[in-house]
Order: sequence, then structure tokens, then C-alpha cells
Amino acid sequence: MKYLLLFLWCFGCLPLAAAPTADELLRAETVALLETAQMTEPSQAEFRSALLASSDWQHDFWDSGPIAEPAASLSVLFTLWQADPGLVERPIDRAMATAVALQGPVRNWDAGTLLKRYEFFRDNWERGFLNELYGQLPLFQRRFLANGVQHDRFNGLSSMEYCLEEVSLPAQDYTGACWYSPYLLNNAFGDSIHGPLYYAPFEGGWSSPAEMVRKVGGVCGSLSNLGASASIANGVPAVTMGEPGHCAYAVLDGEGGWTPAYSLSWQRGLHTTFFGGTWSWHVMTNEAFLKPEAGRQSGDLRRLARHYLAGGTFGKAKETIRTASARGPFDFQNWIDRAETLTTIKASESDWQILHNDVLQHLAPSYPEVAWDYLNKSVYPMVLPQGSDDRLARKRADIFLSFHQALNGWGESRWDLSNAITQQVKMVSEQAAQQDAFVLEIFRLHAAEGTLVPAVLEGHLPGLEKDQKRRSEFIVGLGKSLDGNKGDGEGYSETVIQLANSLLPPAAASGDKSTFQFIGKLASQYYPAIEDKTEPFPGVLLSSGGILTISRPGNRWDRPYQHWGVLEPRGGFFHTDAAPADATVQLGNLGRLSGVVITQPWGNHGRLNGAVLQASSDGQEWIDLHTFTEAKTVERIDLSDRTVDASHVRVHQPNGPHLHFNKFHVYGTKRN
Amino acid sequence: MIRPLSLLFAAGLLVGQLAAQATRADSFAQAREQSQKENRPIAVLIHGKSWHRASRLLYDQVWADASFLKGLQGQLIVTSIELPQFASEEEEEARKASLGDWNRKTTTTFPAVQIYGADGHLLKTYQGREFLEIAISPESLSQNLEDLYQASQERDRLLRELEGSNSDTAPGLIDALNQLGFNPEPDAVQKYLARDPNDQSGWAAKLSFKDWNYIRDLNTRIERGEAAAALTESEELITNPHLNDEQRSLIKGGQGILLHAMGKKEEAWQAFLAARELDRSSINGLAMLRHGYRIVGQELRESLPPDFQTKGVDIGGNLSRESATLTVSSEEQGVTPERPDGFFEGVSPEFAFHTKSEKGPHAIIDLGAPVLVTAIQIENRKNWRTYDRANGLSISLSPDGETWTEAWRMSSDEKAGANWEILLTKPGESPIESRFVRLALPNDREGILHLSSVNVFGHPSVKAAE
Repeated sequence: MKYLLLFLWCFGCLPLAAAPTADELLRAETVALLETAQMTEPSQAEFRSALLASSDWQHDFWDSGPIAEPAASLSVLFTLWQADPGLVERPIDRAMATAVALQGPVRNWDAGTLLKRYEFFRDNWERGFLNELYGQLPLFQRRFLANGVQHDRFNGLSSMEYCLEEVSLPAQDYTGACWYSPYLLNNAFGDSIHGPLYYAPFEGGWSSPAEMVRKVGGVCGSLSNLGASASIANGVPAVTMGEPGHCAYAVLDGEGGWTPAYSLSWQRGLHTTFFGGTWSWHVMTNEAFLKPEAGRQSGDLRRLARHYLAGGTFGKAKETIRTASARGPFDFQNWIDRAETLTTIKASESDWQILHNDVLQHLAPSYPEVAWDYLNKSVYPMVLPQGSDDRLARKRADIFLSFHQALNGWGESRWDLSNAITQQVKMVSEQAAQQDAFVLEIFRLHAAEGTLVPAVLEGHLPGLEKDQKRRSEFIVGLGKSLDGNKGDGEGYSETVIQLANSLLPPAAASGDKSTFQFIGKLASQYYPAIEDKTEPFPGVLLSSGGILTISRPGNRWDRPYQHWGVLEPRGGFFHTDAAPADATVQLGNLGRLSGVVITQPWGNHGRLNGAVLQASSDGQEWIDLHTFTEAKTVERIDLSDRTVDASHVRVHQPNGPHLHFNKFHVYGTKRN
Repeated sequence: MIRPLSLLFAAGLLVGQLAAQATRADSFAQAREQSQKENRPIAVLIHGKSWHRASRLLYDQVWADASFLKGLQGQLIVTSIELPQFASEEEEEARKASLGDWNRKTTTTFPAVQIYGADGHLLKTYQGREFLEIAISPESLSQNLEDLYQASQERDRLLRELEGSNSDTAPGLIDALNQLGFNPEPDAVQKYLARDPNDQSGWAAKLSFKDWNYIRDLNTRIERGEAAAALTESEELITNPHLNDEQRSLIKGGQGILLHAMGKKEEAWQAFLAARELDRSSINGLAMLRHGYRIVGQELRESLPPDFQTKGVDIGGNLSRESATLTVSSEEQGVTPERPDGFFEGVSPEFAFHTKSEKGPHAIIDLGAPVLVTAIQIENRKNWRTYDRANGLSISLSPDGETWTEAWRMSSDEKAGANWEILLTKPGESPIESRFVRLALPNDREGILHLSSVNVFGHPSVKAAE
């Protein structure tokens, strides 16, 4: 709001008789900021002139994503310009200087540090040492270079210079740069990385902290920061991110999108954030500013809307900012300004309903998480009727259902729909019957397409754990919603099995671990555990919590609802029916393998003969570990004398279509 | 008159020189084929000239420059591999045939240059800074590659001789082979032991030494109760002449770890000090000393931490550990003995004394005789919640316990932490002769003084010695 007031003030100074041009508004915005930042000294005149003479430069500054502290950023930009006035004539350097200025206040680095950071990129680009991708980056993506990674030790010049020389790779290979450092939980003295002694004996011993981490080792945090900082040092944008119990990173790809690296989950909290911190926000904001013209167009429209607002021409302000959000729906500043505009002009409920519908139309299909966050925070308070009678509850349910109708599967990225549904349920009604009925409506909406069904159940079923009667009735209700299920009131186990049969194979195929785990576990109540005594190998059961994919799931012998159990201590069942036959475990945790235990049901054990046990660190390239001969009910493959780090383990049968296991257990120590 | 034999010899030399010329191959696969057929080593540049301008310059102005090839007198086969950026799967598939058996994982940064023997063994990789240093000009690069070519010829000769060697001749050949500076031969240890069963050359042991993993293995052996055996083995290992100082430092530090595990603290500390002396140029020696100080040096109170900046001052030995005594201004928790447990020696407790809350609480250490105090180490009470009670701490020195000279005081904006290491003698200045050291809090406010331990470092007084 403070930001908006600044512009209201600045545009209030412009004549309203005829709408000013986009360039005039841009200039006015810059002039106002120069005054706010007190850059009015004669010694700053040349900088002022250079900035005001270039609308490109001003657009770069204003229209490349949110600005945390505009005045502080302008001050940094002045410092950089003072050290290198010629940057005005060099578009790449000018863009990098501007990116450093925009991120400077975010990192709270001093001017000297920021100048060195700018000079690092400028000089190494000049020398030809940076990846050529650097020359093509839009300003927004340069902000990731300017910002650096989470662990500040990697952001120093010594680390960047080290990475520039010693980890210079084709851009796509930076997703593997984390493995330049060995994964070691304890240092050579036995001290854990979770204490202060891990790096302490080695501090200052190498040319840079990056080299120290590469030589000493680390776990996911250090490794991901090393991988991302190597990428950044070479001019390829990257970002570190937190995941549940893990740290990962992502690297810009050749299409302008981002590739997650060392990532184990869709639940990602990024360490360089703009409007929001999750992967959805990241992907959307990147898309918004991939083409600078789009950002500029949005900026022009926002400035015009503010101009109208400052002049009291509310209708035009409202329409202009609506146009901005329709044309640039992924530039979230448009939506922020739009809600602020409606608030400022005390807009009617119908205006808010129009905004609601626009969000559903322009934002929800591609970025449902962003749409939900925005609606929940800024729009629902204005459009959701309050009150406890049934009619109002129905109206609230309809509003939320319209959100679900607008979804297009997961959109551009997976998000926490379950949590959104939990919140919606609470807002619809306090009555259990109304809550359950609402969730069944959502379920029916998504049942045909199927992708979102597990999230619907995950959002509601855990809350019913304490009321088994309510839970059973709810599941029966689900059954009635499914095609081919009569829903006779007793068939909830059949419903769950039917759900699992239809959902587990596609979830496994798409790597959707959450769905595989949730539905697989739910279905495990409805088949017996395998009672056999198999000797485990040292470490933990790495397969637990993972994903099982098989060749041609759902064939006439297969029982997909039992696939989850195959990886867990309780056991389950699968049966392939395609040659060559594969059964692949994507491990719950990356690990160093100590052994594999496979159990088969009675009969036809020989079908395993000639099959090969293989491991892979990426699910693409496989190494052979063991060839099965004279297969028995229980196969134990000891890998303790091998050094095998893997994320995937599979049995590959080149000679026939049939593999059938009760258990496929992989043991070892976690390495994430 | 020129004799026919001389003519023939001269002609032979000329033919030899013409043949002894590097040639280019279109791909690594082609170079390997040619290399195997003609028994010639390969030099390959791995670069990304389509995505890295410096690589492009290097390729165009050095590698492809005619003077580069001219500078190579030996029969190297020269080729290059370009690593593409964002290649499609089809493009990658199409490249496979040209790459032959080249292994992408043998290089970790680009550009890089590699030399392969005719047997396909990767002899040497120049990459990163090392590569940039040799690739500054066509002449520099060709000279370096030429040297490697000559060394590769010597390798071939030594390998041939090794094939027919016995236990008397093999050690010398193995030694000469490894002095060439190439990557270890495939299955080198087994190969050498087959010819030199007692490892007289020492190279089997050298190549088996696993650097920091050696230390990891020692920890495993300690867990298995094999510390003494490991110590004995280390005594022999450290004499291996092929180990460098960094490796010897690890072994010596490893001895410190083993001795500590065996309860021999003083010997352990000496081993850690020796590890640092063996290697003062890399991190190994310092890391060993830092670790040694933490596990045993601190407890023995032999010195200040390895990272303490003595600024060239010889701080001497611990003057308080053996016979110093303590008196305190008041006692909150019973009578404070002259030598509280752990205060001057051994493992320090939570706190060794505890004054009442009063103005100017203090503790006076009597060193027993006049000495030259250079440095003091003080450990605060261990509970971090009480650290700030020591804010404003000062140190005063006195020859007689009557007249005091303040030697150090915490600045007003400084927050007390877990400990202090204080250099009391500035470089170039003589230490003050003192017998008494007073640790005190300010007089202008009430406070509590409670510390865990103190070590006073310095030299015996000349007068006292007289």
C-alpha cells in the first residue's frame, strides 16, 4: 500500500486532460523515485540524465518483477554506475547491474560486495568465461545470478571464481554438479555435519569455501548449494530450495524453464523468491518475465491505472488494471494492484465478483495454487457470504466448486490442494454432513479425470479418523460417485480397492509419490500381510515410501491395489505381463545399498531366472548388480561389498513377460 | 666425400622426422582406431565452443592454429570433442559413434585436454586452472603436450621392460614408471605386486594409501579394538619414501588419534604437533592439529588453539598448570580451595569458583614466583545463559600483589562468550615481570564472577632464574 501511495502521489502531479503516454508515466515514476531516494545532488546529475534518457533501462528497473525497496535499489544502481558509467552503453552489463541493484536490498549486502558481484559477471563475460546463455538472459532471470544461493559462504568471490574455473559445464549438466562433493554425513574425524565441528578443522585450507565443501563433503544442503552456486558462477541461473527433510536446487533450462535437481518432492520452498515461495510461484513468475515485452506491457498498464486512480477517474482505473491482469495474468503485480484498486475505490460486490471470475478464467487453470492463495487472501473476504444458515453454506460451497471447475488438473505444477480443500471445508460449514457432502461434490467433479482425486481424499479423510461411522459413510458416498459401483452401503472396501486399482499405476508412472503413498496405504487395510520371515540387510528399508512401477500394470493377473505393499514390510503383490518385463522401485530415499530381498508367491519361481537386478542414480542409466539363476521363493542379494548409490532399483527380465513378487525390499543407508 | 652409409643414415633420419609428426583425426573414435593400429598416443581437447566463448577462442586460436601442430614433433594423434549444450536425444545419439569409448566422467570442467596411451589408458588430464595455465599460447600448449608425448614413449618402454622383469629389477622400473607423473596404471597395485611381491618399490603401498579415508578407516579399527595394531602398521607406512608430506602428516595425525584412543594423551598431543610440522603448506597438517587440540590439547593445556594469532610472539609454556594458586574476593558456594578442581589442570567443570554478587568481584592467581606473562586463556562458566555476567572482565598484573597494572579489558560494546585467548605481549615488546594475575569485573556495578578455567602462558623470569 505504501508503494501504491508513492505512485498516487507521483501520478497526481500529471495533467489529466489527456492520458499521458506510457513513456511519460514511466519517466514520472522514475523522477518520483529519484526524489524519494534523494538523488538530487549535482554530482548525481549525470546518472539521473542517463537513467531518464533510457526508457529501456527504466523498464528493466521497474518491470522485471517486484522491487523490495525501490529507493535502496536505485542507490545501489547509482553506486554501480559510478564505478562503471560505461555500463549504460552495454545492454548486458546494464541489465546485470540493474539485477544486482534490485536484489541488493533483499540480500542486505553492502555496496562494496554488490559492486564486486557485478564486476565478477561483467569481467568474466568480457573474458568469455561465462556460459553463452548469460548473454541471452532476460533481466528477471539475472536476478537469480545477482541473488546467489542460500548458504552465503558460496556467494563470496573466491567460491565463484573457483566454480568458474573448476566446474564449467554445459548448462544442462549443472543439475549434476551437486555430486562434485561426496555425500558424507560425518567428516573423516567422525564429526556430524549437524554439529559445528564438521568443517571446522578444514576452514581456510582451500582456495574457497566451495573447494572446501567439494573436498570435505557434505549432505543435501551443502551439495545443493554447491551445485547451484557452480551454475550461477558460470552465468546460468539457479536457485536452492528446501523440501521436507531435504534440500535441493533448480537450474534454468534451454527453453527458459527450470529443471529441478537433487529434488525428492514437489513440495519445494525456494530460497530466491518474488511474490511467493513455492514452485508454482516460481514457475509462474518466470513465465511472466521470460519475455521482457510482456512485463513492460503490464507495467505500462499498471502505471496508467494508477494515473487514473490518482486523478479520481475510477472507472478507467478499474478497467485499465483489469486489462493488465487479463493480458498479463502471470505478472502477479497486476492482481495485487487490482485488489488494491478495488479497495481504494470502495468497489461494489459485483466488481469483486468480476475479479473472482477473472481469476478463475485467467489464473486458476495454469497456476491453481497462486489463484487459491490470491482468492483466499484478497477476494473471498469480499465475495463469500457470512452466516450459518444452509442457504449461505450452499452459496459458499458453490463458490468453492466454481474454483474446482476452473482447474485443469494440476496446472503447471503440483501444489497443496489437500490443504486448500481442508480450508474450504471449514469455511463452507461447521456441520459434518454439509462438509462431507461438499467434499463428495468436489470428488465427483474430479473423479472422471482422476488426477486430483487423491488430493481430495487426502484433504478430507485424515480429519475423519476419529469418527469411524462418519468415515465409512463418507467412503460409501465416494463409491456411489464412481461408475460401476452400486454403493449398496457395505461396499466401502471395494470402493477403496477400485480407487487404488485405477489410481496407483498412473501415479507410479508419473512419479507422483504422494498419491502412490496415500492411496496405497489406504488400500493396504483391505488385503492380508504376507506372513513370511525374511532376514533384512543392514540399514533401513530404502524401498519404503517409494514408488513401484511394473510392465503393463492392471493385467488380468495383477492386483494394482497391492503394489504399495510390495515395497513395505507387510508385503503385497504384483504381476507383469509384457516382455521384456520390468519391476522398478523408485526408492523412498536415495541410498547406498546394502542388499535386496525379493519374495515370490508359490509356483513359477523359474520365471525369475535370467532376470537382472539393476540400480540407477537417475532411472535412466542402469548398472547390473546380479543375475538370477535357480530362483527360489526368497532371493537375498548381498550388496554390502559393493559401493552402489542409487535412487532406483529394478529387476529386468529380458527373456519373458512374467515377474510376480510379494516383496521387493531394498535396504541400505539414506543419502539425502 | 660423403660415404653411402652416412647418406643412408641421414636419409633415415629425415624419413624418421617426416614420420615423427603429429596428425589430426576427425573424431575420438577415429583417433582411437588409428592409435591402436599405429601404436601412437592421443591428445584430445574437450571443449564447448558453441556455448563458451573462451573455449571457442582456444579452439580457433590455439588448437586449430597451424603453429600448434608444428610444435608437436612427436607422433601424437590430435583430435577434439565438442560437448554440446541442450542437445536433443537424436543429436546425442548421432554423436555416440564419433565418441567411441571416451568416458565423459573423466573430465569435471571444460575446456580440458587429455592424453591417452596407445593402449587406451588415460595418462593425464589438464583441466580447470591447470589447463588455463598451459594453454596460454599454441607454443605453450604444444610444448606441454610434446613433453607428455616423450613421457608416454618412456612409459611404453618401461612397461615392456616390466613385463620381463624379476623381483630384483622390477622395483626400479616401477619407480621410474611412477615418476613420470601419469595416472596410475590400470590394476597397478596387483600388477606391481606380481613383479615386486614385497613391494620394495613402495609404490603398491603409496597407491593404496587413501588419504582422508585412511583416517576414516582408523576410526573403524579403533571401534574394533585394533588401535595398537594400526599404530604399529602406521610406523612402517610413514617411512614410505613416495608419500608426500601431506600424506605423512595424515599418518602422523592418525597416530595421534590412535594414541588418544589408547589413553596416551601426551604422546597423542606430540603426534598432532608433529603432523602440523610435517605439513605446513596444505590443510592436512592444520586440520590434524585443530582436531588434536580439540580432543587432547585443550585438556592438556599445552598451548593455545592452533588458530590463535600469536603475531610472532613466542608465548612460552603453561605457567599456571603445575603450582599456581587462587584466591577470590568472596565465596557464594562454600570455600574455594587454592587449586579448585579443573581450574588449573585437567577437565574444567561448569565453574571452578563463584563469588557473591558484589562490586568489583575478582580472583587473584599467584604463580608462585615472578614470571614473564605473555598470554592468558580464560574459559567462562559453561552455561551460555550466564556468559554475559563476565562482561567488562579485565586482567591486571602485579609483581607483589599490591601494585597492579591493567593489561587488558573487554571493550564496553563487547559481549562475553565461551572463552578468551588474549595476547598480553605485543610483538617487539618485552613481557612484564609479574607474579600475580588478577581477573576482575568493574567496580562501578554489582556483579558475579564465576569462571571454569584459566591458563597463564609465558616464560620463567630471568631474575628468578638467576
